[in-house]
Amino acid sequence: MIKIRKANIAALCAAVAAGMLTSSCDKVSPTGVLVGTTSVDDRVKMSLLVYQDTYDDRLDFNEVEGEYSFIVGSDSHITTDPGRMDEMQEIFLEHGDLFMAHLGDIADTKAEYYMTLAESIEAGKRNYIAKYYHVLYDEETELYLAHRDLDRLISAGEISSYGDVDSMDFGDVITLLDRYDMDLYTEEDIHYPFFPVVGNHDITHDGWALFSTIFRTSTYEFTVKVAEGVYDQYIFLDSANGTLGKIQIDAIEEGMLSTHGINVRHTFTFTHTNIFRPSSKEFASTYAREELYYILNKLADWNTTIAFYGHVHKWDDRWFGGVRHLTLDSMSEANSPDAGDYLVRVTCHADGNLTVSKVRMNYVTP
Amino acid sequence: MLKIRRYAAVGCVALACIASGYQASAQTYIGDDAFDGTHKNEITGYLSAGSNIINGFFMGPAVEYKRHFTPRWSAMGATELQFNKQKYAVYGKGEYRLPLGRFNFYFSGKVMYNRYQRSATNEWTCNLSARWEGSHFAITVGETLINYSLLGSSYTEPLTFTFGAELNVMPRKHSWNIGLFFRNYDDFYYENWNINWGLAFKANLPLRLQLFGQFNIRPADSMSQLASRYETSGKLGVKYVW
Repeated sequence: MIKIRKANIAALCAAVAAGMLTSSCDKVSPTGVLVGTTSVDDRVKMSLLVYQDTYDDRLDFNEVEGEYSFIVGSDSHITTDPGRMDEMQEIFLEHGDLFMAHLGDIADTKAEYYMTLAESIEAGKRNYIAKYYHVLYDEETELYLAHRDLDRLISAGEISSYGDVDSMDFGDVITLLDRYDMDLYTEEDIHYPFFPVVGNHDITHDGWALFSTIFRTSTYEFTVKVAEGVYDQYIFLDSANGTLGKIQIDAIEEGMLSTHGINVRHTFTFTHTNIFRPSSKEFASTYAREELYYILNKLADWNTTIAFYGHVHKWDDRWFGGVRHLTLDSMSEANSPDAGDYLVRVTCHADGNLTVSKVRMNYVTP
Repeated sequence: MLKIRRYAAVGCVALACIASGYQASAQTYIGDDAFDGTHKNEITGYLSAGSNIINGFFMGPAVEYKRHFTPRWSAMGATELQFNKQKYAVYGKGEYRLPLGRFNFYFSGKVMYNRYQRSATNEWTCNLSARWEGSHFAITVGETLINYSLLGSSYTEPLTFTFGAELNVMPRKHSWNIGLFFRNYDDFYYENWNINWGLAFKANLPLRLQLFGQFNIRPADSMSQLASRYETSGKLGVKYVW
């Protein structure tokens, strides 16, 4: 009887071992399978395809003269009320920041929550277009002229106000734009400057499918031209699983995120999982030790000016290895119910100096 | 993110460790840690190999020596070299055993140095743990303080909660055993909320030898999103007592 029991137990252990061996190929735990997460390698494969397809568009995403700024938010955990997300976009528009970055956990992996998010982003894009573009009608089609282009035409004496193009024959507008190498845009052509990375709450329960439907990618970079031949570089990394994963690390080592021979003034990196834990009470997952040291070295190799993290919902500002590391509070009402300084604005001055300031969010559910 | 209030447990562990000194044996071994009354010396050698996303394939040997000074007090030293990881580790550990009924309680202290040559990183780790060991199971809790230095900077992490559990199919003193483990540390590293889990076995051999092994999976990140593997590894070794 005892022998039979031992045999059964041994068989059970063998089955468990076999299961562990097979599951170790991809999904590494029954828990992981049950919650239906995507692996970072799968997401990075998708992201890199998008990255390669859109690289030319992302390079020189914008040219700036003098100073410019961008704002960063994190861990919005949107459910049914997009109030804080709407507010972030309003702050961005009101201040005239160049772009927004979001450090992940943008919504909480239910389809309806991502629909709430998508509506918020779409509304934000409409407001952005209304502020920075002038609409023209080609019969039934809405086309847009960038205000910055119209400002150039005014400076050149071609028109005296934005409204002048409305009274011009459409063909004459096209001729004028061609002469100045300017474009007309459809709404789809206009890139809403909201740059997120994926967080761990964005990847369970098929969250990646929802996230990527809206944002397409989570591993990418772009540059901002700040002077002739001089750029600021922005690198976005997928660390939602607490690792960059083999494919992303290979891509990094192969130089995907290198400076491509351009002269880089500042490099900023954005990813979800934090490196530094603010206290022993903040028991959030971080990177495995060897990967943590790899990332710190890589940030130094890139001459990173500021590295941004989220995940732990606790503000932390520290210098390590010549890099400033900022870990942001959660901008979610669930985690930060009171009004507070949950966003960060970085202003890049013309002389290369930076100003980092916290930005207050006031939205509280009525 | 999880916030865990654990002051009570930490306090108990710290007090116990301060009061009684030092710890349990290597995590590769799932046999009886208690002094058997005859052999005062244990030497263990094993080879580990695996693959992780930073280094790819790696392998290297480790050696541990344990001395039972009395049936209750013991001390241990160990070293490991991982060739492909370019990692070198050494630690010293002390342990006090408190038998209580059918259980043994171990209180341990450990100081470890790791050199990660690839990333030019020096890491110092101090751990205090308490281990509750039954016939078929063991549970470990503790606190770990980790300091690392690289790129001309140094950082001491906030205290890291250390936890481990193992469940074996046979009684601990049986001639062979096999079981599962789940913990956020191994012989030569301590992690934060990054757990590792796997299967371990041991079998007594002639000439006071024991064969043991371990299959270990380290997912990236925490329990809530384990779909990405950081490292898979195995260990196979022999223990000799005299």
